[in-house]
Amino acid sequence: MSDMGLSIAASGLAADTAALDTASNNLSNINTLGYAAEKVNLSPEAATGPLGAGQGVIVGSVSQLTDAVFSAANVAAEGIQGAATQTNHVLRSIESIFPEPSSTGIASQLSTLWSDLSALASNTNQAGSQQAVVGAAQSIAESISSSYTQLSQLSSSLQSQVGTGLNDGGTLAQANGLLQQVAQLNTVIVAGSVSGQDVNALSDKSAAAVNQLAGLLGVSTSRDAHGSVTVYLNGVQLVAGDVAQSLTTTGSAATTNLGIVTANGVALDAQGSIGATLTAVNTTIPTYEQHLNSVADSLATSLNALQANGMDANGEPGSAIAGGGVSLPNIFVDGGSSNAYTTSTASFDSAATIRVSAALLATPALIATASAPGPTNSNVIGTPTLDGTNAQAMAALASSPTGPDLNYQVMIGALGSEAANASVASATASNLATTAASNLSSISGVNQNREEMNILAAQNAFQATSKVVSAITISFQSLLAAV
Amino acid sequence: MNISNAALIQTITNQLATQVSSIAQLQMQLSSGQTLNLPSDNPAAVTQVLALSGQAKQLSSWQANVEMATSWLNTANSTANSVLQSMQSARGLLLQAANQGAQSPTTYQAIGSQLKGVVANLLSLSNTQYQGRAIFAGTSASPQAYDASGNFLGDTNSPTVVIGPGSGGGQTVGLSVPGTVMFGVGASNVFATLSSAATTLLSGAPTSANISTALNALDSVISGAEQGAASMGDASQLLSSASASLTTQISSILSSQSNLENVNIATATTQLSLETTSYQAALWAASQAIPETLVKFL
Repeated sequence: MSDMGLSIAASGLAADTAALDTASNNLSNINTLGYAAEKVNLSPEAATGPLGAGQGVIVGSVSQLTDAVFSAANVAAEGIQGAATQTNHVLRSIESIFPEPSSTGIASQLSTLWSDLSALASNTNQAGSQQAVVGAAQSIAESISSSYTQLSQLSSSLQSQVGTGLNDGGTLAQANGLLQQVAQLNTVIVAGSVSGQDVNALSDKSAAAVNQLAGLLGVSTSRDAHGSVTVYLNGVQLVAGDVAQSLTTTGSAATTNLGIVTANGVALDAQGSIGATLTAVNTTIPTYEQHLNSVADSLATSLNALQANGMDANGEPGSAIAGGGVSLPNIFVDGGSSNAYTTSTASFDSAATIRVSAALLATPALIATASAPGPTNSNVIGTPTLDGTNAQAMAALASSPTGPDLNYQVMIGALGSEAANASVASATASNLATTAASNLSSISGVNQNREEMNILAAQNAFQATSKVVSAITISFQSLLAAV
Repeated sequence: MNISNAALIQTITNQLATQVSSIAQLQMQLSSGQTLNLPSDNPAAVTQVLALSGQAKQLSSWQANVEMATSWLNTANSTANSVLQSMQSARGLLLQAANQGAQSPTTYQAIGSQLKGVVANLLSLSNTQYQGRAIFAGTSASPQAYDASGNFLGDTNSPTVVIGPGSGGGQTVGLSVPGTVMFGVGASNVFATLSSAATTLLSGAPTSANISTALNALDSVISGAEQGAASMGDASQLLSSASASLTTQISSILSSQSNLENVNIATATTQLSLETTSYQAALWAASQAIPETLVKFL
């Protein structure tokens, strides 16, 4: 008590200054992403003897307002939102390739082909009707192959979005950068907290990096007593202490086996937006490519079969009919062949290269409008005829239960449902993420009113303590004057 | 609960974005006139619309076939009536030659030359065309059914059009019977029969056997022609009922399609004005809430 309580007042002034500094820092970071509000922890200093007042206030620490449960929920929600948003984007892109119902889509082009065939059946030898049918067939083949091309372009652009994991600007490279960042921060945080420094700002940076990682890969985390963060994906440690894994891709979109492995070759089942991209590239887009293949196959095989078993208006027989003459070309061929159509297999996509045969494009009259000679007609190979019964059979494919129309409708129905579900899932995930973020923010966010009240309180306390200092000073002076 | 400023602003931003997107969707529906613009707008309805529009197009093709077949058969039926009349008049001439016992050569020759005229008339009827196609030539590409000497140039297929669903190409209707049904087959066709009868009559001394052979042959041709004419008449009847039913089906399909994909303007505009009002309210609330803090009152 040699200084008459000046040191007690000084500890109060120091505590108020710390409170003002903290409030000021909180307000400065009010819009900083991932910033957790801080508060000053004060404790009273005990009296030194059995009598007398306490010895003032101790500024214990400046701690962060965080909640482990809400933080983990927030990280999980980021991962789910990252995946749902990406899936929704991919399906929107696929949908924009098939904007049905429309007057220009594949469904409408198929209807046009059937009605052109129906008109041709009554005017088998008219060049205009023949040209209309061949033109309609060509525009369908072009639509199917261009839709297929757009699907595979979407797939390869998604792959380049992910990148290789090396420094190529892809999202995987971004994730690798974040993993590195978390590992480096771990080193600094552990060193700082062991030596008793304030590592709050570093923890904020680490948490922000983890949130971004969650959105990209759907990771989960744990934090040890020193503030070092361990990052997991499917139980594999991506960051442990100061060591970060470097992830790379394997396989490719073209072979539908694009994957992600660690440097040790452990395959990871990525979640988040990268995981959603891998699913899109390996499963979703190939599914619609298969649908397009089956549309192309049902169109080409059914029409080619009728073409092969019929006769054109000049009496030339189709390729399945024996009996001399020049045999008619197929209607549809695949790109690599002049007169053959191969149906799709696991390794061959017929939709990619379907087109109308060059021979038919050059001579539309080679379409087999008449039936082959048989007991129900008097057609003769080599004799021109106006019989249109084979063209009628072709036109009837419009309502065939195995025809291309139904295949296409099934595909559009599946696409519509999947896209509608993805859109709902994305909205739900976004709500979930907003809720998780506002839960976390209710603990660790900066509330402007609270900070302003803190400033007022610190200011009032500072003024009062100043009064104490001035009272002690006056007392000293009177004491000195009396001596 | 402690609501941080960043969380408040994020919540307001999200809510405004949701409202703007539903306003944008309504605006798109109203400007395009369609509720279905993408498969995900209503997957079940989109699939149905695709099926319905395919069906409507097929029905329209059948409708076009019915119209073409109706006007073809009008030509065919009126031609068939004239053919039957001419055949009856030829029969009358042959009966005249047969009935009255022996007649003067000039009378026979007069009947013979009249018969020649009938043959020429039948020949021109047999080559009647509908839009460049000889209606009695079957499905042959020949522009004529019979040459000048009465030889058949066509084939025996009956041309058909599809007018409804069915096996193979669908339910078909025959357009006109081939010439072999209408005019008889080969050497016993009406032209050969009547030409040879006319030649005999023109010679001035036909035997009653000559005439009765010709009559028998003609009678059998007439009975075939009557059957042919009857079947074309039946086809006409079938077409008129098919046409009525196709018209009903098309209009019912178009109306279900329109119910599925066209915007109900009244509902959509009401909805849009509701959305706009609540958007304005949200904007107003946001403008009131965001600037308010303790600072204002200190």
